[in-house]
Amino acid sequence: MQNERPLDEIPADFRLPAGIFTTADLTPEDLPDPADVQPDHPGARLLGWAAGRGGRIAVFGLLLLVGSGLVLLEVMFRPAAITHVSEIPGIHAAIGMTAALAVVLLARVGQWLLLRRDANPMPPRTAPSRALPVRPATPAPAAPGTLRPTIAPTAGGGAR
Amino acid sequence: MTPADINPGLWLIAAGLLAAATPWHPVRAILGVAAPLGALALLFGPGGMGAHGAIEFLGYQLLTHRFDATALPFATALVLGSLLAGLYAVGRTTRIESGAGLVLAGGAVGAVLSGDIVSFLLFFEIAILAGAALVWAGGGRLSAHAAIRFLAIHILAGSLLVAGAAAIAAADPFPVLGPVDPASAGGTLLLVGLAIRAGAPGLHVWLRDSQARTSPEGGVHLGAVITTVAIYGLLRGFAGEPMLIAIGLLTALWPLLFVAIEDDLRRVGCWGVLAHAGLMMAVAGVGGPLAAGAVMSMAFGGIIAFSLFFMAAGAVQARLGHCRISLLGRVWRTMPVSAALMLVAGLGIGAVPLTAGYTGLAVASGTMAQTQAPVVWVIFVLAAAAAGLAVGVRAPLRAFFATRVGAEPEEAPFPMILAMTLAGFFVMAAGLAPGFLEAMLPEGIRISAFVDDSRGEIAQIWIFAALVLAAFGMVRLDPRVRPGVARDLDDLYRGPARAALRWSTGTVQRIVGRMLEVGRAWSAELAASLAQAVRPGGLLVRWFEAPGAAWPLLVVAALVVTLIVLS
Repeated sequence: MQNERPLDEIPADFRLPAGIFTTADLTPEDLPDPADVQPDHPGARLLGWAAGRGGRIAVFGLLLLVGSGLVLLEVMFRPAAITHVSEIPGIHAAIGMTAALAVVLLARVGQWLLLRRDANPMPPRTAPSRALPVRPATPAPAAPGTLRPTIAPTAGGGAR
Repeated sequence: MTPADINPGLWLIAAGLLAAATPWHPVRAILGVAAPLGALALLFGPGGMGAHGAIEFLGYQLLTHRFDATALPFATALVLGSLLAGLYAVGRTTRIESGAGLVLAGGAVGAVLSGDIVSFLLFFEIAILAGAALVWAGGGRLSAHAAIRFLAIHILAGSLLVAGAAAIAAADPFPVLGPVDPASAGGTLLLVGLAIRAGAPGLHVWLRDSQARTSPEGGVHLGAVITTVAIYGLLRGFAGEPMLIAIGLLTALWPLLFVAIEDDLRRVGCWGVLAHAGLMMAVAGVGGPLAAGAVMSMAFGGIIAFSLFFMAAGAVQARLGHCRISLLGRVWRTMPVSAALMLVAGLGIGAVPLTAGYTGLAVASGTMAQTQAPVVWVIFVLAAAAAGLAVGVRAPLRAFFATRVGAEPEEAPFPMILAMTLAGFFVMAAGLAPGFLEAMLPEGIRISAFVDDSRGEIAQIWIFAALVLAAFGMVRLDPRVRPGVARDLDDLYRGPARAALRWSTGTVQRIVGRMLEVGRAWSAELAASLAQAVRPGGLLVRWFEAPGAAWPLLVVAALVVTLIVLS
C-alpha cells in the first residue's frame, strides 16, 4: 500500500498538484483502508465494530433470538385466566413494534407537514470566545476509483 | 430557630447569590459543588423527617420545611442533579450561570420541602426567575428573547397559581400543601397553573424554546427541574384526579409528533422531558400509594437520566457551538466516552431494564394496569415506548453514530467527563440496585416485586421496537434527520396570529385615519358655510333681519341648554 498515513495526519489544506495525477492513475489500493483510520482506543474500537455492518447484523440477530425466546416463554407460562390486557402473551412485543412503527411514520409525516427552515439557526448563538477548539472533520473514504475530495474545515460545523 | 428549621433550599439560594456576587472563578466552581453537598448533608442531617420551620406570616401559619417520605426522593434527585451540574460546569462558569443554577436548584428543593402552598409558590417563583436568568445568560439577542417568552408564560402560570393559593388561603389560615378539591375555584386555578408548568399541551413551548437557547452548562442546570417540581405539586394536591390521566396521556403523546423530526439534540431532550412529565402526570392521576411510589421513582430516574442526556448533548454543543444532528458525523470516533455515556442516558430515558428509567416504568405500568381500563394502559405503555425509543435510542444513535461525513469534535473536557460518568453511575445504580430507591419511598410502598416481574415484559417492548426500527433503517424507510425546526403551536402566535394582529391594528389605524379625514373635511365645510352665512347678506343675517324669523333659532338654543342642564 503506497499511502499508509492516517487520514487525520493529512493537512486540511492539502491539494494534489495539478496535472500530476488523474483519476485514472489511482487504483483503489492507493486509497487508505478505512480500517486504518480507526482509533486505537479499545472502547472506540468496540463502538466502531458495533456501529459497523458486522456489529449491526450480530446485534440484530441476538435481539431477534432473545425477543423470540421471551415471547415463547410468555406463551408457555401464560396465566390460566387472563384478567387484564397486559397478561396477553406477546402484547408487549406488539406494543414495542407499534411504537417503532409510529415513530417512523410520524417522522415521515412530520417532515412533510411540520418541518420548516430555521430562521435563527443555533451555531452563531455561541460567542466564539466561549467555544472550545474544534477538531477538523475527517473526510469519509472515497468510493473506489475516484479521487477523494479535499475538504477544508469550516468554522463552527466542520465540513459536510 | 434550629438548623433543622432551615429549608435546605435556602442554603442553595444563599450559595447561588454568593456565586453570582463573586468575581473569582475558582470560588464559583467550588461553590457549585460544595453547596449541593452541603444541601445533601442538611437533607440527611440531624433534623430528620418531620415538620420544621413553622412561622406566622400575615396571619397565616406557614411551614417552611416539611421533610417527609414523599419529598425525599424528589429533593434528593434535585440536589444530586445540582451537584452533577455544578461538577459539569467546573471548567466554564459565568457569574450569572453559576448563581442562577444554584438558585434554581435551591428554589426547586425549597418548593419540594415546603409544607404550605404559600412557601411552595414562593420558592417555585424564585426557581422560575433563576431559570429565566439561565436562559438569558445563554448569550445573544435570541437568548434574551427566549428568556422573555419563558418569563411571559411562567408569569401567566404564576398568576394562576397565586390566585388559586389566595383563594385557598382565604378559606384556611393554614394553607397546607395537600389534597385540594379541583372543582373549587382555587383548586382549578392551581391545577391549570401547575399543568402549564408541567408542560401540558398548549403552553408547553417554553421548555423547547428556552432550553435550546441556554449555554451547555445552563441547559444541564435547567434540565427537567421545573417540570418535576410542577409534577410534585400535582402529586401533592391532585393525586387520584382522573382528569390528570387524560391530560398526562395527551402530554406524553403530543411530543411524538415532533421528536422524530427535531434536528437539535437538546430540543430532542426537551421533548423527552415533556413526554416523561406527561407519563408521571398520568400515573399521579391514578392515585394511591403505589402510584405515588411510581411517580417518585420516575422522577428520580428522570432527573438523573435527563441530566446525563443534556450533559452529553451539551458537550457537543460546547465543542462545536451547536448540537444539530444533521451536521454531526461519526462523533463516536472522537468522543467515545461521551458517546457511550449518551447511550447510557438513552437507555435510562428509554427505561431499558437495569437502568433508572426502567424502575419507574415497571412500577408505573403495574399502577396503570390497576385502572382496569385496557385502553388507558395500552396508550400509556405505547407512549412510554415510543417516546423512549425516539428520544433515548434513535436520536443519540443518529447524533453520535452517524455514518455520514460531518463534524467530529474533540472529546469533552475532564470535568464534564467526570460529571457524566457520575451521572451514568446513578442511572445504572438505580436500575441495578433499586433497593436504595425503595428505601427512600414512603413506608409500605414496595416496588421490588414490580421491578423483578416486569423485566421480561419491558425487555420485549425494547427488543421488538429495536428490531422494527433497525429493519426500517436497513430498507431506508426511516428518514434521515433534515436541518430545520419543527412547527409547533408557538408558530400560531409568533407567526399568523402576530401577522393577524399587525393587519388588524393597521386596518383599525386606517379606518380611524379615514374617519378623521372625513371629520376634518366636514368641519371645514361647516365652518365655511357658517362663515358664508354670517357675512352681510348671508342666510343667518337675512333670517335675523326678517320679522319673527329668529324664534326657531331661539327655540333650538333653549332645547340645547335644557339638555345640557338635564344631563
